[in-house]
Amino acid sequence: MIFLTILIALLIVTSYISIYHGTNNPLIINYRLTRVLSVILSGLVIGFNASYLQSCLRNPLVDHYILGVGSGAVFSTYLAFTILSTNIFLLTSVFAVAGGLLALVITITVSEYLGGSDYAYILVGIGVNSLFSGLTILFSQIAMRKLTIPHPMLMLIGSFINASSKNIPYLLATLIATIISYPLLSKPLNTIILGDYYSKQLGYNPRIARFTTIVLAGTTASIVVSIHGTIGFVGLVSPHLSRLSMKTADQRFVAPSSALLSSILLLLTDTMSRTLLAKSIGEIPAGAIVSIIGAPLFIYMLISRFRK
Amino acid sequence: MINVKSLTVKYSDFTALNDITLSIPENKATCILGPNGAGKSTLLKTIAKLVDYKGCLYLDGLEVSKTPIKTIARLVSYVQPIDTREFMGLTVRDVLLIAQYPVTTGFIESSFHLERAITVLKQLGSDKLIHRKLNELSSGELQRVVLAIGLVKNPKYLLFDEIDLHIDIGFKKSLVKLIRVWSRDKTVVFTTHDLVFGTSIGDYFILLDQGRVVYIGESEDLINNVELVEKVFNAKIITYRYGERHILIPIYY
Repeated sequence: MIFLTILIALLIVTSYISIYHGTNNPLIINYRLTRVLSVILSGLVIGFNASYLQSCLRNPLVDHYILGVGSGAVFSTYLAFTILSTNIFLLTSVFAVAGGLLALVITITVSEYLGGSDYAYILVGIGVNSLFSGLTILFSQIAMRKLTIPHPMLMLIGSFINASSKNIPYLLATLIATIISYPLLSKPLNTIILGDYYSKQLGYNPRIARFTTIVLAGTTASIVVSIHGTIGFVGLVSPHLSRLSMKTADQRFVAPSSALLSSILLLLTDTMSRTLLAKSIGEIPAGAIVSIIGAPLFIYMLISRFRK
Repeated sequence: MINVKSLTVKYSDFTALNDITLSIPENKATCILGPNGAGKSTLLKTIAKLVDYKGCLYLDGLEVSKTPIKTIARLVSYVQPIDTREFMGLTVRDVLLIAQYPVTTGFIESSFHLERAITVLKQLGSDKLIHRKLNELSSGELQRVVLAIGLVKNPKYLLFDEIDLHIDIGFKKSLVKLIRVWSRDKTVVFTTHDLVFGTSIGDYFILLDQGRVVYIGESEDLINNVELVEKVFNAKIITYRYGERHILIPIYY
């Protein structure tokens, strides 16, 4: 509880600095406000999601990026641009959700077929990610001739450059869906960690809980991805850091803390992305900075698990 | 009281339990014996509503297949060795609170439930483990925690599936005493491959072979049917009288 309060305070301070630092131009402040809000909402959804997915698959090394949801959603967004020749968000987001869920189902099915170990998930995820990233580039070449759409690399790596107030309601809707699920899913997810027999004995149907979690996490992540692109590693690291700092793996505490932590980390990186090197070489996508910091942490987590 | 009538359990095309009828007495320790694949675990899992069945199975007069999983969860604990080493960093404290979900209301447990967890751990002589992570425990320590998981929700029926795995002789001895204490006000049903362990605890015995009941009866009666046990296990077995108890001991050569 104390930890969660500290995180909320940190988030508020970071947002305040990020919005008001070095300017009092109302136009800039207004843009920054939209951008910070987009980052916070996306961060919260990604953090919640990752914590759910990790418990549900009993695997601390996964998030929406590793599981292929990100690239699946980006691919189908570009597929929608190509086939429908439109960039109306409601239509493309339906495609994004379908693509994200498809990629998730492929990764889970193949990994479980290979024995379901944590490493199976990572390796199969790499395969699925490569496939959909390649397809994204392919379709973007066709779609970019007809429409003004973001560059595929920006979407594959994730960025908040395109933050816009018209996307806020969609981000808010995914967050609300996630928050509603929190009191319903966190207890069953806790029992799933002990195995299906224990879950049933503690009064829950593990299949229903797992299905709901996968659909919810896949859908909400896909919507966020279809707006701001795949943002990897934040989701991977946040639940891990939450478990370490709170010394518990109870979803009821880990999920909200992971959400707040992921929001703070994402806000810090996005602020870095639009300030660092902005004058000399232009804005670096937030997703790139997240990868530069997150990937070594991920490798560290892999090594520390392997040595046990 | 557990009443079973023409119970059949099938896994795809394998019949694990074939038309069995029996009843298990209340507030006693019932030991289920039988060779590998006899259907011992299946019987316990069926009582705990973990597998589907045909026939009748009554728990306190409730037909198990028609009773909601939440109700069964309050009545029954089925305890088996945990098959995974991936616990996502769960601590013993976490799992013992999780294990009380069927008997708690509200979203977060009160301090009462934490005290309950500590009491149960103390009973098993393992209260030092409370802040440890599950993946850092030895197999024997994990086994004690698994027992605590079953006990902490204070169910009326305790079903123990080969809980004597991974534990040392000293703890096995205390477990014999503990199960006898628990069986005063709870119905304990347990399976084991250790005849000495089983006959040291059991008041009532069920002998299964190939999905059928071969023998059912009290401890004294079992001693007179040792040939039956020998036949089922295809091994030489001697009886030994220690105090008031008759103990069966397998001879391995």
